Amino acid sequence: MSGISVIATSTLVLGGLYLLMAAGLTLIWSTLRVFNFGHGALLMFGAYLTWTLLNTTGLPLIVSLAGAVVAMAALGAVYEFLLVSPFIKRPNGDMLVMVATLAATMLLQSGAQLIWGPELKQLPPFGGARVDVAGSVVQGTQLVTIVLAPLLVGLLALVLRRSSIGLTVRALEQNREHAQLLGIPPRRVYLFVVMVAVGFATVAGALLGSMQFMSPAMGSDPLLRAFVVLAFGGAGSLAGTIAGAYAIGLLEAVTTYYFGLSWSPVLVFLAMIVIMLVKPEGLLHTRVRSA
Amino acid sequence: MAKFGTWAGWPAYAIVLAVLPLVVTDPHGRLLLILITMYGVLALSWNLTLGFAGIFNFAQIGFFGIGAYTTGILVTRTGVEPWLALPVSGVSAVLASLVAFLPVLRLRGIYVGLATYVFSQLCIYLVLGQAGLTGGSNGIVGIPRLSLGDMSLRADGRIGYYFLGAALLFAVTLLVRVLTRSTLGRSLLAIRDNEALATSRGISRVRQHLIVFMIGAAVAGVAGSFNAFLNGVVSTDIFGFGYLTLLLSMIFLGGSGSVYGPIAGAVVVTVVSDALQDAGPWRDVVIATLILVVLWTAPKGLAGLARSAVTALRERRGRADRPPSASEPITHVKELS
Repeated sequence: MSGISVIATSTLVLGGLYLLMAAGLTLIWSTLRVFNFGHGALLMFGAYLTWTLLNTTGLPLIVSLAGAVVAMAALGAVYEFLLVSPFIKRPNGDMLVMVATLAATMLLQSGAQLIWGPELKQLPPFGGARVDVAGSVVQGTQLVTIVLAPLLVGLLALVLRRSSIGLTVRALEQNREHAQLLGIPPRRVYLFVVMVAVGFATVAGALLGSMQFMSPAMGSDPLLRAFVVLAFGGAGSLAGTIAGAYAIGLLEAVTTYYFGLSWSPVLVFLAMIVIMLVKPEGLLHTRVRSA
Repeated sequence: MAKFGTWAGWPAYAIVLAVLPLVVTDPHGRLLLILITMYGVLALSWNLTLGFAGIFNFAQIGFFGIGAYTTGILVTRTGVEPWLALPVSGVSAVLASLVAFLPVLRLRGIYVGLATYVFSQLCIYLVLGQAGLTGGSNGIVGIPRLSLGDMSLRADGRIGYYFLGAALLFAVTLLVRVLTRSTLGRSLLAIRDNEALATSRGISRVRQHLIVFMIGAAVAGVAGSFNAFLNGVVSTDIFGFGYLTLLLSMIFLGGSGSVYGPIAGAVVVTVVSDALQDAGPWRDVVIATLILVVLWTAPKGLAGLARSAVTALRERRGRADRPPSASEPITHVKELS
């Protein structure tokens, strides 16, 4: 019995983390038509920034996180301005953006090493609430992750559906030229999208940094899982991403439980490759992928 | 004889490669030269898929590592003749490339990038998982050095390794040059620039991409083997982010899609990276900034700069006998406003 509840808990925690990562990537992908390789490094930077705010100002953890989200969103604007918009219109622009964001990863990782040094750091747990579920205890950051991730992404879905900025985002997603004809300025929408995505990554980073030690390379594993989520759910659809994130979380929890930590990623990636071969448009998506 | 001009550079290239170690005699400089040849080979082979074919191939680092691990396992576990490990590593990288190619069958563009990147990362987990064979996180140590008769390639400041690397570099440069001018090379450009038209003219995208993928993988596998013999150790670092970004910066600094650009990129990035060896994280900061500056200011890289410089020179020479017309009015307007 406890096996099932352990798997269920880690499915919800991992799924939540991957959801926060992948939702941002999907949003960027569907509107800008580029792929942000630097998303993992942004997650890491957000986590470290939260740590700094917490330790220098003495503010509560949740306030520090909010401050980090705002600061990182500003960094996201710079990121869009320097790394995405100069290349997006060029021929072969998606490859240039990919390389530019890889360079940004390098810059952010070595920057973090210079700023925060090599010693291990960790954020304190988010709150002390605990819940007993069928014999296993869920508490602190895990509980917050389980609740917060779907809440934030649900909020995003609501904004995309109801608000005027959400409408323009969806219009650009569906038909860039026509949206521009209607007078929607793509640059402003791009900026909004990247800032939201970076904010989400920061939340994921702080949650992760509270569950394990932080390191400059801490973002690369979540980034890889987010790739798998996109492959699974079909990049460009938020519903597919939500389902994909929890499916990959479940797959990882089950394989870790039964095969151990070193085999779980292999099995997860194999699943991704098989899906890409059998159903390249994503299991839950019908649009054909041609980028 | 009209083709004489196009081929005259090759003997000169060979002579430069042969004379370089006589000019650079200190061990550190020699090692740098060897690294340049190895990175040059890798960057050239990667540019075949990334630049010419336009495939978002991030598996090249995986092929490089698989070549290195094949050599490591072969020579330490089976006692096979070390020289034989060089071509065998190329073959095993080609076999791996067949697996990595699977996603290219049905995916396009950026999705290929995701799948092939995951492939290289998968290699790390497989190596760690098969610790009995690969040494896990300790890697493989004690790989015997290559020797020719009684002479170790390490002797005299590793001069043997340099000539092996230089020979590989020369051969691969020639291969890339011939390949890009061949029907295969032209069809790759056609697929990259207009796939629908190319396919309608009877070019099979899958077939042409598979061929270039395998050629690139074979070269990378041999380069990996070379790296294993040069260092004497193989570890999972070889699949890592460091090599990936270093090589990408060489290709894009030199000019992706140009034949010789990646060699120039390999020279510049290797020298810069060596000069900053002791600078710790600053080295990555400088290299990353270098990539970004090149992407911003010269998207075609050094090769593009060189080409436009040559064109500008020719234009100026051509214009010398007639009065300059185009540039004058522009400065005039500027003065007015």
